[in-house]
Amino acid sequence: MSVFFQLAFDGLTIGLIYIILAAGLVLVLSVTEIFFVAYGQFYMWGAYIAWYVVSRFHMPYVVGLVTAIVATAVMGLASYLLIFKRMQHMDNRFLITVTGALGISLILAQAVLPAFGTQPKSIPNVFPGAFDVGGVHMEVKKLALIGIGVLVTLILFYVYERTKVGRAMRAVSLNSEVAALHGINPSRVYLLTMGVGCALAGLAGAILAPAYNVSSGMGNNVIATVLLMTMLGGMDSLLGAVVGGFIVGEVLSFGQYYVHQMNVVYLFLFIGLVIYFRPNGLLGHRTDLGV
Amino acid sequence: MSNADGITKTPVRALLDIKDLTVYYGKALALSRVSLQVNEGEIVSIVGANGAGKTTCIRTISGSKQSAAGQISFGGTRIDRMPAYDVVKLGVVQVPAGRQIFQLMSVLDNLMVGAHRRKDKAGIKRDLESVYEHFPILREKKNQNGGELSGGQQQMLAVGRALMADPKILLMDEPSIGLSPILVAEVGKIIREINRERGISILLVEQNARLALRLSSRAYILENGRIALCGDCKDLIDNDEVKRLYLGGGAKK
Repeated sequence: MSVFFQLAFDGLTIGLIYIILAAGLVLVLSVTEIFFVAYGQFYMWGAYIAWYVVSRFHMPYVVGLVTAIVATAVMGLASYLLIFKRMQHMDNRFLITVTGALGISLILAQAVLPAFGTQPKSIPNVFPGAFDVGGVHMEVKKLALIGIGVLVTLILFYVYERTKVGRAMRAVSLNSEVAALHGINPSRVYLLTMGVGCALAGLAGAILAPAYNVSSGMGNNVIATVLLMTMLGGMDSLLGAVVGGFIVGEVLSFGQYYVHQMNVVYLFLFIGLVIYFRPNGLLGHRTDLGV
Repeated sequence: MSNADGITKTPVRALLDIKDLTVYYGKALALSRVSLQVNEGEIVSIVGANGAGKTTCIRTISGSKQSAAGQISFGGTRIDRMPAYDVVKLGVVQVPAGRQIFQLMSVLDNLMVGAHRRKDKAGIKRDLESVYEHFPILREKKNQNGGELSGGQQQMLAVGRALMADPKILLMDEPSIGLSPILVAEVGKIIREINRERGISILLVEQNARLALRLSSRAYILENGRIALCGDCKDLIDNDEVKRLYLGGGAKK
């Protein structure tokens, strides 16, 4: 039985990373309609920036976390202003934004090598310690990840569902022209969404850094899964991102234990089955997004 | 509005004043030198067939569409180069065709989007209350998604959302389209009430000429992007060409 709880705990840790990534990507996809496949690289950069600030400048972890969030937000804003802004309203925006995002993805994936080297990194001893509860081994660094992840998800939900800014984002995501007719400036909402979306990726990377290794391939490793997850949960549903992230985390964790490398195969099979029967995902409504 | 002593001292300037407006869709000419005025407190209609340029006209006023030439002023301010989200702040509010409410947002959220540019919390609260009084069904269903409402209720929501912006003029694009005859009459009643009780001017675009001419004091007949005819509705109703083309052959007086 303790094996079960151990796997569930580990699955939750990974799941929270996926939840944040999927939530950020859902935000970007549904509001800006940019098919942002470069998203995984912002996560990787967030992790590297946090590692760099903490291990090179010997700053407290919080400084690394905040730096990663701010830097990835700025990178997101820059990529929107330089590249996506003019692609966004083209008729074939799906293909064009995918192409643009692939370009950004390649640049960011390569640039990390001369900047930080090819060796995997880790932030040592930020959250030391561990304890056992009923046979489940809990490391403080993973608990910290879970705590920050849950807090961020709650804040995101509150802002999106309950505040004026969130309402404006939802309105633009549903109909930007009508939103503008009622006083909302869509360009500002797009900027904000890209900033927040990319900051979430950076944050996911930065909270992962103390708990796991940071490597140059981590962006590529997650992006396919995160994209499939947003389809699993529904590309316009934050709640879908949470459900999807939770499922993915647990399936990966249990799968790793029971079927090793095959876990990814089973995960994709499962997602494929869900999409076959529910093309909008578990909780999605919109049929006009992307694919 | 007239002065207390009934004498108009200076020539009254139209609230909405459109001069020689020309608009293209791609390379196609959609509006050609259209001039049109709406005075304060007036209901004015634009009547015309499908594709005559009615919707283009309204979308250009609200800032959704750019004009190629001409001027649009509202209360003396040029608005033809303003983005839609700023035009609405002056009190020029469009109720879009086909209602276009936010289907996956709650009724209350839809209404609050209407008040997006307002900062007067007390005023917003008061207007929300007055929308609920006008349309009690919206209060009843305030937590349901807009998409769950019936067509008529969605039209009420679209009007309510526009009223939340505290408009001086409403630009109504085909409010009767897709509604049953009973609901069309209801919409007519609502338009009159809004105009009378709140003094909001209304520019009404309609394919349903009968409804438009009955509701408004003046009308412009748009044909192929040009104003073919304009005048008081009571005269237009008797005009033979209007009868033949827009009111159906054997229109009775």
